[in-house]
Amino acid sequence: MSMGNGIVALGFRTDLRFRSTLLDMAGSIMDTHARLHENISALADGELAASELELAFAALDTPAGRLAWDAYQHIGHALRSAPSDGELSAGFEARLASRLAGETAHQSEAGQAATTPLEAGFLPQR
Amino acid sequence: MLPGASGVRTERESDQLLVERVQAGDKRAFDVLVSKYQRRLMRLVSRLVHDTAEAEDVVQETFIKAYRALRHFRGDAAFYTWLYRIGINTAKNYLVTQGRRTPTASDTDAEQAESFDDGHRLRDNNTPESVLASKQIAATVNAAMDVLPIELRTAIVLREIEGLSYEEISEIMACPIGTVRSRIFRAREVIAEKLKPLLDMPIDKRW
Repeated sequence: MSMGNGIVALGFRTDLRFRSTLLDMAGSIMDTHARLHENISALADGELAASELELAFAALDTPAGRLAWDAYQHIGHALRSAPSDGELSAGFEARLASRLAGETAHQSEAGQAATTPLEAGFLPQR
Repeated sequence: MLPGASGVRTERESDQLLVERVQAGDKRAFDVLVSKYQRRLMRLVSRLVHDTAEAEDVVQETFIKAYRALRHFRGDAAFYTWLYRIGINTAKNYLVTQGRRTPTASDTDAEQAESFDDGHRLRDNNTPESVLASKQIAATVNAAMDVLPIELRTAIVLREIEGLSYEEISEIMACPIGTVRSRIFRAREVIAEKLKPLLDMPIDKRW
C-alpha cells in the first residue's frame, strides 16, 4: 500500500471512529433523556423512589420534561374519561349463571386431582 | 386485636372470606364475587378485545376458569389480582386464536381522531374550544392505545384506569416491577408522540 493510500485509509478509520463516538454520545443523550422521562412517568404514578426525586424535579424544570409531564397527565385523564365503563349486556348475568349452574360445587370435588391447568398459573408468594 | 375482629374488614379480607365459602361448596358466594368484579373485568377486557360481544365472552370464560381453579387459590395474592391475571391471559389467548395480535375494531376511535381535521363540523356545535380540545386529545389517545402492543396497553390500563400500583400490576402481569415501570413509560411515550402536535400549539390553533 502506498503512503497516499495509507493516509486515506487512516483518515477513513479516524472518520469512522469519530462517527462512532458521535453515535455513542447521541445514544447516551437519548438514554439519559429516556431515563429522565421514565422518572417523570414514575413520579406521575407516585411510584418514584425518594433517591430519584431530585433528578425528576430537575427534569421537570426543562421544557421537554414539562411537556412530557403535561402529556402524561392528558393521557391519564383521557383514559379515565373514556366511555367504556364496563357495562355488560342485559343477558350477561343470566348466561353466566346458567354456565355456573352446570359447574360442580367445590365441596363435592374435594380430594380430586386438578385436571384443568390454571390459566393464571401460580402467583408468586408474598 | 386481630384484623377484622372489630367487624371492619379490608376488601382483600372480605374477598378471601367469600373465596373460602366457595371452596367450601357455597356457589352463592361466587355469585357475589362475580357481581362485584364483572364490570371492572369488562372495563379491562374491553380495552384488549374491542368488540363488546367478544369481550363479554372473554369475561364469562374468565369467571368460569376462575371458578374451576378456585380450589388452588390460597390467598397469597388478592383475589382481584388473580382474577385479572386470568382475564388478561384469557383475552390474549382469545386474540391469538382469532389470529389477531392487536384488535382491529378500533375504527371508531381512529375515525374520530381523523375526523377532527374537519374542525368546522365541531365549531358548528358552538362547543367551547376547551371541550373540543379534550375530545381531540381523547380521540388521539384512544386511537394510539388501540395500536399499542398488548403488554404496553395492559400495563397502562391497569395503572391509569384501574389505578393499581406497580406491585399489583407486576403480580398480574407476572413480571418485575421495573418492567412494569418501563412498559407504562413506553406506552406513555408512544401516545405522547401522537399527542405532541396537539400539545405544541395553543388551543385556538388546533383546528
